[in-house]
Amino acid sequence: MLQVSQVNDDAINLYIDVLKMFAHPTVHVFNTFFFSCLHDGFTKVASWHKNLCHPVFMYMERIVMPIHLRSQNHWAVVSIDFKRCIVMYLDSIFWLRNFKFIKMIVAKYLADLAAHESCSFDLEAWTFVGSEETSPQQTGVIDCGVFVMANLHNCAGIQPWKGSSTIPVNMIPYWNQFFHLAGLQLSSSLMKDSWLDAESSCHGSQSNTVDAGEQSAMEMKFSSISVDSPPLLPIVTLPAPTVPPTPAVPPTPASLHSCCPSHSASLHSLSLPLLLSLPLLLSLPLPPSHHPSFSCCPSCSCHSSLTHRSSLTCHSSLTHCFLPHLLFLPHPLFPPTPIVPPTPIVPPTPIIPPTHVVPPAPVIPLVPITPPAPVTPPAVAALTAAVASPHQVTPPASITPPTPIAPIAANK
Amino acid sequence: MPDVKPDIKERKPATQDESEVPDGKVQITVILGEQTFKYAVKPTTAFKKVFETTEKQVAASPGTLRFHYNGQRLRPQQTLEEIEAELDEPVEFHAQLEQIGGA
Repeated sequence: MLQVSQVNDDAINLYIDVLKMFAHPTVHVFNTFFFSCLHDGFTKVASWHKNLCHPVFMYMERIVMPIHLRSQNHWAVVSIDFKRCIVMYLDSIFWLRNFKFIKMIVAKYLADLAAHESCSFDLEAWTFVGSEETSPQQTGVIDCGVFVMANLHNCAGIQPWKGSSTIPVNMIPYWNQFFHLAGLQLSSSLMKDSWLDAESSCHGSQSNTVDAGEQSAMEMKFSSISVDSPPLLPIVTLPAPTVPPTPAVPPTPASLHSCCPSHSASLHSLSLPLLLSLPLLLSLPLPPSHHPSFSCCPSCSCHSSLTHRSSLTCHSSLTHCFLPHLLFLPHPLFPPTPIVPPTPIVPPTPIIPPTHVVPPAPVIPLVPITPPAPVTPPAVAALTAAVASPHQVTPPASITPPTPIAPIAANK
Repeated sequence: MPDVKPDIKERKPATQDESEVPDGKVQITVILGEQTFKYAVKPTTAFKKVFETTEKQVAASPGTLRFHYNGQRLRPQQTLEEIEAELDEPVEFHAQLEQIGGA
């Protein structure tokens, strides 16, 4: 019995909250209500721009907004690239009529925004890109929510995974809801399509928006979250093996079932890798045999969570098998902290394993996002090099390096 | 009005001035589509009361409305103090119906 459900605003906004923690300061992702408010007029959303770098046209790299089309019960994404003057419409069910409608509203928004900030604006200089090529097309009936999350992820240009992190404890109820909803999204169309192809097409061959650095950053992200297993297909490597940087305490029975909201109080922190790769994870073609690191599921003694997942019998296969491994590991060293804004000055964490030492990028507002320097295109090679000699990975000069790293590396 | 909570009173728009807001309270406006609702709320009162009252007014089932302040999603446990609302300007909350989509 396959239980299916549509994605609501809570799930997508939660995902956006997490993306914003990792996105570059010059990339802003609005929540799902932005476009509905914008439809009522720019004055309704003028105050939403308070936290952005001003003037937006000069200092912002990109603004990404999810779009909810209420009449069609549909989600889509618009990415506004201020550097290249490109508006990209990413819709998993492309319909020209929708594109024209969005185009009209976004053009008006840009004009209003320019007037609001007393900037000059020339609509002729802008290119509106929207076709079936800009986003992978869904074949299922109810999958657009997950496609939107993956498109948001790609548009936000998330930097490589930075290692251990925690999520404030007060977000956990929303997490649970998110996974409850996202766990229901598995469907045949997603299992067939591979986001590996989708990612490159998503950023568009038409505009060549993806440079080699960004792609290598993407690869780095997915290879760096898996160290124990050889990352042959970068996405297929699941994030589980690297998650326990701290002494891996086996999850207690209480925390195993913490995927349901009633038990969430026992959780202290969550690790992030799964969330950032969740849409990708959901869309993977399944490997032929079960993954060695997933050979047992502590909660229901099934042999492989992957085969469990492939059976699609219930959404709890996702929450049961993945989440205890990936998300609900106790983090005694990382107490819950408030949401850290994506500033480059990261407070030094007590312990960062040497494999995760990826320097955060410095804030250069006028330069397009580039991945940190040590990430070279053969991501796996870079990763192994980083493992072998962590001292080569030096953070940029503007960032004060977390002091505890050196002694730990020396001990290793 | 028997069902009005003690420290949150519904106020008719345009009939009462800003000056009539009791001491120590802040007037907030909830905008839902074409409708507006005005309340006088203490800075320490949780928004739960505002949300529930608004949902009652529009006959929406609990939890189906989303409230925003300057693009920031409001949670029922938050207060005006917590969100650091700028009290110099009129405080406007925007309410929206739940969005759901899959097609």
